[in-house]
Amino acid sequence: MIYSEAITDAATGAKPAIEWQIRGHANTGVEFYPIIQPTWQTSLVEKISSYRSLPQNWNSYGSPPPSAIARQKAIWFITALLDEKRPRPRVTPVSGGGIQFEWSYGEREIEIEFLHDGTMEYLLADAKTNDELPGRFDQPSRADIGRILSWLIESE
Amino acid sequence: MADTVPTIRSFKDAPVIETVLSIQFKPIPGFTIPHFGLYWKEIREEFKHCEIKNPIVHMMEDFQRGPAQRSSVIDLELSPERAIRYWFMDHTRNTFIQVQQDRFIFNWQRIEKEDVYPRYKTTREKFLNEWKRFCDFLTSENIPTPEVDQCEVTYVNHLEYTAGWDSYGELNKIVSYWSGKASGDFLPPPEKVNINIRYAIPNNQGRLYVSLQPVIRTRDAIEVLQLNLTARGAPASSKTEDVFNWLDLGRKWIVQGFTDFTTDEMHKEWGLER
Repeated sequence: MIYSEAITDAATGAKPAIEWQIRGHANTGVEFYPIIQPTWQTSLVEKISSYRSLPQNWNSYGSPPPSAIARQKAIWFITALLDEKRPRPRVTPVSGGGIQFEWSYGEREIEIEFLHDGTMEYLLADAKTNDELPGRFDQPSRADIGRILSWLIESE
Repeated sequence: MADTVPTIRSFKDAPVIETVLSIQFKPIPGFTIPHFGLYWKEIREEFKHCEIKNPIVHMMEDFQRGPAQRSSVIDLELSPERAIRYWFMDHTRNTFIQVQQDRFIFNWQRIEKEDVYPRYKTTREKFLNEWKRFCDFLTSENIPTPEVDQCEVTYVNHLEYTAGWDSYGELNKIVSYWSGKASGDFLPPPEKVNINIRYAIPNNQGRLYVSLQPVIRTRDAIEVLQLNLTARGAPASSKTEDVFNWLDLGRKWIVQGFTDFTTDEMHKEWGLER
């Protein structure tokens, strides 16, 4: 199944920001992600959707559950920028109402976090050299994500 | 006739989140990319926002072989112009017109939960006005009137889990076709269900497609059951009256089909009015 990736608006939480249309015969504007396919993306999308059911103080440190905009952006990230051929990330809710994606390979690790306000931050860490490179994405492209995932396995 | 709407079933609180009225025609000779801009100028006061999309494929209901799709004729003819689709959106973005070389589409979508669903009569009237304005624009540019080959009506409904049911084991509470009973006791209740059904509209007037699938709604990242109904077929002619008569037929099949496909319990939930 192919999805178009047009980002139609800055995601403010008030309006849909991303088009997830099934290409070919999509004359509708409604944005959705079908979740019956047996893919890791589907599993993660369902998992992230279920975070809305987390209670307040889910981590015993007073944190709220991941915010709606964090969930929306995280699902967009999976469906628009990752594909089945990419390595599957570990996804967890984080303190403060955000969601974190994490990949590790050898001595290297990548963390991408969607904060409670939808902001997207990343950290590239190399345990071998003790280098850490933090950064922030505004509207990353598939190529941007491809580059940092390539960095993960370059050390081998 | 094109100005009247037949009365059929209606729901006070229908779960519809989008309606689409579409007219498909043979690619119009001489209707090129600069004309999209000229057309936008005509409607820009009401439709201020513009977005570019990939074109929709040309779909035809073939009663010999079944539904068929073909690539845009523009592509087949190796036109130097890229096939393209434009969305022209009003300030709320609830209503938008889609135009491509072989289609003219009118959408209403619910963006915020509070958005009120405009009834078919209202949407149809607006679409009729916009279709006439589009045809007038073509005439003013000395471009031939579209040769309509298919009409299409789509309604998208979102059924939330808490409204009358809460798992696929209770799908029979929503879908009248679904018994929810197995021959034995081996299988547990289904975790997810995906249904696709095609109906023929008598006398080769078209087809009705019903699809039910679990989706994550991106507006709020919530899982809902999406029920799509699409009616498609050929009008008697390209005359506006015939085109809108077909759209009325398509809408009738969708509303009556929706009512037949879903249960009386849900009709009460949605406030069946007649």
